[in-house]
Amino acid sequence: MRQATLKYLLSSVLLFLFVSTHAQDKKEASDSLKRIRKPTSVRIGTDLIAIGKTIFDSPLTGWEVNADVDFGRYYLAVDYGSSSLKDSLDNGYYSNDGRYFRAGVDVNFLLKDPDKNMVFFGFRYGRSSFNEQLSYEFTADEFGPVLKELSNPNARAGWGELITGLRVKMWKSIWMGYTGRLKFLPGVKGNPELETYDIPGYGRTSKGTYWGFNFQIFYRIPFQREK
Amino acid sequence: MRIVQIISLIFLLTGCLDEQDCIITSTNLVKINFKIDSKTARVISFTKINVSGLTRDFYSGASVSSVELPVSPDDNEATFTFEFEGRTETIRLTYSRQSEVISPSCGAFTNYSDLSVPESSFELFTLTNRQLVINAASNLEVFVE
Repeated sequence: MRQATLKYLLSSVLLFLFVSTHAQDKKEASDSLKRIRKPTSVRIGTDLIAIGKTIFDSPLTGWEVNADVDFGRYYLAVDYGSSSLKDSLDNGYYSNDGRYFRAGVDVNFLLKDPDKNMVFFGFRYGRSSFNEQLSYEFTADEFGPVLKELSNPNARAGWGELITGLRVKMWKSIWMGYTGRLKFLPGVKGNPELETYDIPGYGRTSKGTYWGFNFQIFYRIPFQREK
Repeated sequence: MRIVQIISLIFLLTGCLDEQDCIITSTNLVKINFKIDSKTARVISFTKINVSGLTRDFYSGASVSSVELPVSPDDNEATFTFEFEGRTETIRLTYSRQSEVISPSCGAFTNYSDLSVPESSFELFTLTNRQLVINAASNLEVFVE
């Protein structure tokens, strides 16, 4: 229920963004930032939600580092993170642990903002290497109670993401913002007897698409001294 | 700006997707229908049926045209031995098992699929459903004179 509420909240914010960016588009069409330009800075940040989950003892713990470099309105972006899930099931226990990265490009639709604030859309390709364990009990017809213990020690996965979000300058070199992720086409290579439940960096595999959300803080490091 | 509209629409629509249902249809029972031809059921009076890995007999003294027999959740093959009308016939089945978690509240279950018949003393049979599911019409049709 809480997840569904978050989805609708995010959808509403996205609708607002869509209307806002659409209204600005025409008058800014000829802006020179539309070209690819020499990069001026790198922004390095982290996901505060991942840190919050880790602190408050959520089943899902981890961290994520984000970085982007500007090429005019285009940003080359990479994310690297670690995720661990420990979840009690109705009839057992599931856990995983792994590292992941994502790489892709963001396109900024706020073209004339001197503070390099962003309303952006982009895409990512993600890869994850992880291990997972599942143990559970069930009753099989005529064979009685069965205890299953399975593992997937060297699993690898890949997926795609469409993303959107905001970056807003808060103070001097500090930016904050969020990224909404529509993740799709997860593919896993691993133990065929255990269908992967959760891919670190992706989430639940049982749906064709899956939502992700980051609330991030960034520190901007310019490549040259700025006036 | 058309691309922004399309991407926004995709994000909005996927926000309305439902949560996953807690329905498990998987079973470890194989349903076998006995037939004279594709349309006519064959009722067989079984002396007994033996299932590999189990000591108890199934369908002893029963006259039926279909049987549901269990396969082991810890193995990838099963052999059924049918004793009826003075004959003894065997079928060896192979299958894949995959464990799947639905959600923390629904738990995990075993999925049985890729059913195949590498050996059978019955001359004619047809695999009708390679997935083991509750209330399957049949997984295997065996033609008996």
